[in-house]
Order: sequence, then structure tokens, then C-alpha cells
Amino acid sequence: MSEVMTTPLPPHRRDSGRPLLDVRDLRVFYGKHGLQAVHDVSFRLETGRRYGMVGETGCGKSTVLKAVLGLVRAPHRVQADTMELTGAGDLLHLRPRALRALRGAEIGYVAQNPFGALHPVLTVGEQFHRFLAAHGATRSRKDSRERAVPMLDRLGVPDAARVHDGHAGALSGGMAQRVVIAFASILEPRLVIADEPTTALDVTVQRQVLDLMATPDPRRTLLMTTHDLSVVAQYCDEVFVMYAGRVVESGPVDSVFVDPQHPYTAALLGSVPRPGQPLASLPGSPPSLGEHTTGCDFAPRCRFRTDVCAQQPPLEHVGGVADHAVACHHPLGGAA
Amino acid sequence: MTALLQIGNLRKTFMRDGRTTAAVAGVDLSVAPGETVGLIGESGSGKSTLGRLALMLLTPDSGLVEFEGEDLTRLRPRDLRSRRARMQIVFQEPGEALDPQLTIGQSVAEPLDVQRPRIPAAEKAARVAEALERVRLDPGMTTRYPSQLSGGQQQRVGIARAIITRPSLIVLDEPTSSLDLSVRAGIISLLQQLQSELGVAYLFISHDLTTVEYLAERLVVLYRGRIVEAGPTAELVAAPRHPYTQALVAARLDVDPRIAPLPLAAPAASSAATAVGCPYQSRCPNVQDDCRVGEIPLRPDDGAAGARELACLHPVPPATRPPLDLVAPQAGPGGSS
Amino acid sequence: MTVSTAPVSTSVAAAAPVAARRRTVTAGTVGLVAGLLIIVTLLAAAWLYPLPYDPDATSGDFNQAPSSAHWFGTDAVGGDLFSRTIRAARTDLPLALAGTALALVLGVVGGLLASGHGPWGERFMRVLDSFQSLPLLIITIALVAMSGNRLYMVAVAIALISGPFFVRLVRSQALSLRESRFVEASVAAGASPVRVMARHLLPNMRSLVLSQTALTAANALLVVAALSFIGVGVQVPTPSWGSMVQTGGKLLTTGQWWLTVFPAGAIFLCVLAFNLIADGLRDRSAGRRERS
Repeated sequence: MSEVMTTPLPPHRRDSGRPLLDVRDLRVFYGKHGLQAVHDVSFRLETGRRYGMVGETGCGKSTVLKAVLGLVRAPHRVQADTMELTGAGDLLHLRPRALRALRGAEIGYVAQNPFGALHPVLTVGEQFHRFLAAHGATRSRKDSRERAVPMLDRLGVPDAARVHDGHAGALSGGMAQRVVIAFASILEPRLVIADEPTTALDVTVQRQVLDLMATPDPRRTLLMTTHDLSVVAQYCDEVFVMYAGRVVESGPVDSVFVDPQHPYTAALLGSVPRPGQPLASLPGSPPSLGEHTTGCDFAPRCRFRTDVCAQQPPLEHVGGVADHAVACHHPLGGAA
Repeated sequence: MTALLQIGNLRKTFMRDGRTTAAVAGVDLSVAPGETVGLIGESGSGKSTLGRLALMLLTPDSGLVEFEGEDLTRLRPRDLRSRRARMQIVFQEPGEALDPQLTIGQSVAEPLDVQRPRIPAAEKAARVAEALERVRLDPGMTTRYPSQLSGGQQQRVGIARAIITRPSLIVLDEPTSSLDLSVRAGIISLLQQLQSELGVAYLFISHDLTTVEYLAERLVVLYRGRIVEAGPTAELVAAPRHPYTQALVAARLDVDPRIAPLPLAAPAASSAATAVGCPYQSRCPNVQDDCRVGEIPLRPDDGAAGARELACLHPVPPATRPPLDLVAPQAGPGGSS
Repeated sequence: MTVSTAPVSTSVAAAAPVAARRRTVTAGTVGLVAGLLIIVTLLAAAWLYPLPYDPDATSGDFNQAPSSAHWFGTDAVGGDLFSRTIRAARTDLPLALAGTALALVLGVVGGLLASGHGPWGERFMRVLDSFQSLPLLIITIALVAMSGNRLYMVAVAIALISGPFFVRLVRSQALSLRESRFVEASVAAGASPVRVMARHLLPNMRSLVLSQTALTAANALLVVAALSFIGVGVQVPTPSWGSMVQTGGKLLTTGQWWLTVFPAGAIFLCVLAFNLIADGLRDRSAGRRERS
């Protein structure tokens, strides 16, 4: 492999034994009528790797994250054969109290809108203290401060002590997101889940935040959604492409983004503007909730549609690359 | 070549929390007929304010807004309204840009209703149908309501409304930012096609260099209400001279995982606004003492090829710029694609 | 591999918003219809249908409990309480509605004007604040009494009390709508301020303003009743629910409950009806916002 990697991969690339998180056949149903938003999504996250989840609005990527975090509430329902976090058990069957203890300590969460996660009137430091105290991880305000300020400093917050003692409402978007990332990192959770973490940020700030959040760390696993394919291309090791609540393609970024097998993945990649190259637009829009057919959901928009597509294609391995899987009756082939 | 739009030393301040802040602090800008000028800047840079000032949707504190050879700041309200047939705007949030109480047909027809109150009904219907066809929408859509359309369709309706009076200038205020990737590509292609069909000029406002780079022949970089660099897109991206432009270029991420991003040398912004000197001084890696005194004017850039302008005392020397293997040889995709 | 040549279904693009278009009959709609039915029935009964007795006539059958001859009983001078309760709707409802209409017109005009650019809107609102801090009910009682109990002054009184609420509602709505992209688009198209108001501002606040109108009507009816209860405005012997409750109240202790209960019930029913209408209208406007 002679690819130019932006960042070195962690030494234990794969086959490192048990996965950190093993999700099998996750299904999420919305509302009283039980419209299915997520269909049989399965994935295994291995320690130290970074995973990206991409797809158009409404493809179910945020819903998958919410389900893993245990944030899907009635009347919506979550089912799964298993949602096992190594060392903690099946997340689906944990008691709310145990799940709350897990969030923050074992699973860090970074939301799209940092201001939604921060209290506008309390000081940043007070929120750090309460967060640490809730997890029984601090002895005093002084103790909390001594841990929070260096953390903010490491995340590139200028004048960290002043930010720590000030109010969250006075921060800029980039600073607020750094504070949220500090929350999501201070207890050194094994898994960090980020839902569109940089969408609300300016481009230069986005780069800086990604450099902080998505640098490879052998002890930390990152699962991130984004609609920005280039973020996944540069900051993730593996990618899941979702369409209409299903994973339609998955595998190493180097393989999926270089040799896309699903026509949908190829269309998404082709719709990124690059100077001097024609733009490929994808007509139509994804099916709405509850509009699923028995066949491939992408078929109505697909150029390669045939009669077989009336049947749901299974997610199968393709080509020569290990772990590159696609759910398509007519994969694009190519160099893989 | 005379400019279609000529903005001179434009200033606008807003009152916020009892303090006046300059959203636009002395900007010169011109747009030639039929060209696309990309206006790029981060949030709070004043780019949307500048777009609205260019259309006199906001009244500038001082300065000149000359459109088709006429100073708009001196017109009476009634005369200004009649000029609006020639200049239009498309907004970022396609859903909010359409009145939920009006049908698609009524929304698209509004500029015609306003500009030509006595237009015959048959002609109006024909013009509405033509505008919808131009944006690749079904003309049978006129009786539907905005809530029944997808985001991409709503944005196409917004564009149809903008072109129905055949303007010579359209300000595009982040028209693709809130759209999904696949929809975005369709809108970008549509805008290109409309430009080649109608010869309309665009002032394309965006925070996203990738999109602007694709569409615009010329680029104007705005930072905290001031233009820090301007010039032909390809040259500016290939050899940025202002450290902020350099940071913008470096911040781009390629969708091909084999192409590594450039190193980004820009420290985090401190929130403290700097009143004197270069607006970028608090983040600039090249900052020196003379950057902190006096205003730094936008001047023709002698250090670079082409018609470029720069407001920087210590620009990036052309030799040390990092190699860029991605830049297309031609300047923008032109009109014939 | 055989590639299908069937055209791509265009329904894919159109399908997404189908669910949003589906309209359901909500509790709000039921209430709206019920409320309108009550008011219309009452008005129809007061005007269109002959009453069993002349409401202004007296007879020897005074202070009778409700019976098959007199459904609501009779009062102290032998008047038929049913006929008088229905006939009172001829005075009370139009007065309340006229006052509401006056408040609506003043409020919409004032609110729209106060939403314009410049410092005058803010100044006007400060004046309105001071005005509303006055004891308005007492001032209007004095006004009506000084005018010699002219009925139109009752409507003016209602407008003085309720108008400011309309001003506030219309101004806040207009201010937020003026910030909306579609109003900006209209201005960018060259629309005049008047056109923006008529075409965009008013239609988009219609539901909320109508809902406020219904609430005001309920309140106005209470004002009419309160005024006639203390003998201001509608004068005896013209039947009015407020004055009927007042007269009947004195006899409540002697067991003649019907004199109070029926006119009070009429007030209650009308206020309830107006509130149902208001809730129904508010639901509709909320629903529209959700769909868009």
C-alpha cells in the first residue's frame, strides 16, 4: 500500500481481539405508528480506530448515534440483537442509572450545536465541576479546576483559565465546541461519539477542532457522523455510508472513497465540487419514513437498476479489500 | 469594461449591546457584467451585510453603491424600488425565503406583480412557467405550497423568483449551504447553466472555499469587515498571499483520502476585537509590530502575477507557498459547461 | 446485466412531503366548530325565532320557579326569564363584538405602525405601557357613566381595555415577520411597505390575530356584563345578562336560584364558546407553522 496517509494508523490496526462496541441488527422505530428509521444496522467498532457515518439528511445516521447513547425515548423504540460495549454489557438492557454513569465516563458525546450542550449562565468551570462530581471523579472545586484548565489548554483554548472562569454564553462557536470536546475527553472515555461536530464551525476552526478531536489515539475510538465527505476522507479510518436507514456500503476509507462500489456512494463523491471537473448531481430525493419497499431503496434513483433490485440486496464483501462491503446487486467494480 | 456593480469605500456599523461595531469597514468591490465574483469569509466577517448593502437592502453609513452606472444611495425609495427588477437575491434558507401562505406561483410572480402591476394575466402565467422551466421544475407546481416541496425544490423556486424579472445581477447568499450534498451539486450546476443562458452576473457569498472556487472567476476574501485579498480564483488559491487566505486554502480537505491536507498555521482567534491595524493580527503567524498601527490599505499586489489586490504588510512570499497539486489550470468552469 | 429502461419515477421527489400534507381532525377543530355553533345558535335564537313571551312584558306570574310554561321561571315583575335571557343576547353579544372589532382595528393599525423603522415605535410602546398601568376598568366605568350610559361608549370602553393587547401582538408578530427571509425577498423584489404589510405581514399573522380576537370577545362580554351588573351601560328594563345576575343575586338567599343561574349560565356558555374558538384557531396556526 503506497497511499499517502495523513496520519499514522495506530499500531494494532485490526484483529485486536474483541471489538469495543458490537452492534447487531439495530432497528429504530419512530412515533406511535412505528415508522422504521433504522433497518438492521450492524457494526463492530475496534479500539483506537475512527469511524465516520455519512449520508443525506434523514438517512438515519444521527438516529444510530442516539440509539447507541440510549437517547431514543418513548414513543420511539429501539431494538437490536445486541449492542454490547465491552466491559459494560448490552447497552440496550442497562438500567437508566447505569447508562447515565456510562455516558461521560465511558462514552463521550459531542453534539453539533455546542451551545445546546452548555449552560449559558453557569461558568464553564462550574459545569466542569458538576460534570466531574456527577461521575464521582472530583474531590473539590479546586481539584476540578486543576484538571479542567490544562485540558482546555491542551485543546487550544487561548487563555484557558479565563475561559474556565467565564460563562459559556460568551464563547464563540469554535471555543464552545472545544469546551464540549473537553467535557467529552476529560474522563478519557473509550468511545467518543460525535454528531456533526464541526458543521456549525468556520472552515479554519473546523480544521483545528478536527485536529484536536480526531487525531488517532490507541485508547480512544471515535464514531462521528457528518455530511461532509472530505472530513471523513481525512479524519476517519473506516466509513459507513447510510441510505434510507440502512448501511449500503462500509469499509476502510482508503478503499470506499477511492473505489466506491455502491452507485449511491459514487454519486455522493461525484457531487463534491472540484475545480475543472464536472459535477455529478443525483436526481430525486431519498424515500421518506415508512415509504420502504421490499427492494433496494436506492433503486428509483439508480442508473444501474434492473429487475433484481426489487429484492433487498444483502451487505456483502466485495473486491480484494478486507472489510469493504456493499449492499448492491450491481456493484461498480473497478480497481478493487 | 465598465463594471455592472461598483462599490466604493462602503461602511456600515451596527449597534450591539450599546457598542457600535463596524460590520463593513471601507470596502471597494466591483462586479463585471456576466461574471461570478466569490465573496468568502467566516461567520461575522460581514459578508452577508455586504451582500445586502450591494442591493441597498441595508442603507450604508457612507460610501458608494453604483449599479448600472447609477448611484443607488442617492435614489428616492420609489426609484430604488423600480431598479430592483435588475438586481435580485437568493437566500441560504430556502424554506424561510418563501411565504408559507403563498403558492409557488404567487411567490415566483411577486417580482413581476411589483414591477409591472398591469401585466396581462396570460403573460404573467407564461413568464412564471418559463421561470420554473428554467430552474428545471414542473410548471404544474404553481398551485402547491412551499411546505409541500423538498429543500432543493424550494431553492429552485427561490432562484426562479430571482430570475423572473431578468436581472443583470443576483446576489447569492450561501445558496447551497443548508442543502444536502447531492442537492447542492444540482443547484450549483443550475446556477452555472442559468448564467450561460441569461448572462447574469453573480455575487456568490459563501464560507465554503470549495464551492466558491468551483463557481467564481474572481475571489474576494473578507475578514472582519475588510477585504484582505482579491484576485482571479485560480491564482489566489494556488498562491495565497495574505496569511488568512493561506489559512482558508490550507483548511480545505480533499474528498480523496490519498491527498493529504496542507498544514494549517493559524492559531485560534482571540475574541478581542482589534480596533487598530490589521484585522487579522491576533491570529496571524507573520504578525509584526507595524501590523498593529494604522490602517492597512488594499493595494495592487506587485509580488504576484495577475490583477491581484492585497492588504498585508508581510505577505506570504511566493516561493514558500506549499505545493498544491489539486488546482485546476483554468480559471473557473466558465459559462459553457 | 440488463439495465432497466423504465423512466425514473418522478413520484420519488414528490413523495417526501405527503405525510405532512395529511390533515387530521384535531380536538382544536372540534372545539372551533362547537364554539361557532353556540354563538351562531344564540344569535339566531335572539333575532330569527319568535320567543315564547314578550321579553319586555310583565305579568302576574312573578317569581315562578322553572316549569313547562316558563322554562327558566319568571322574575319579580312576572317577565319570562327564558325570553329575557335569549333576548339579552341581542344587546350583550353585539356590544361585545362591536367593542372587539374596534379593538381589533385600532390594534392592527397601531401595531403595524409601531412595528416600522425608527424610534417612534418604541416610544409609542412606552406610552402604551403607561396607559395600561392605569386602572382602565374604573376609568371606563366613569367614561360610560359620564356619557349618559350611551351604548357606543361601552364598545369604546372595551376597545380601550383590549386594544393594547392587539397592538402588542400585532407589533411583535410584525417585527419577527419583517426579519424573515421572505419579507426580505419581497423588499428585494421592489415591494412597497404597504404591499409588504398587505401581502405578507397580515396574512401570516391572521390565525393568531383571529385567535386573540376570540379571546378578546370573551373578555369583552365579561366587561359588558360587569358594567351592566353595576348599572352602567345597558339600562333596565332592556335585558342584559349582567343586570339580570345583579337583580337575581339579591334573591339568591331566598331560594330563587333561577334568576341568577340562567343568565350567568349564558355568560359562561358564550365565554366558553369564544375560548373554544380561540383555541381552535391557535391550533390551526400552530399546525400551519409545523407543516411549513
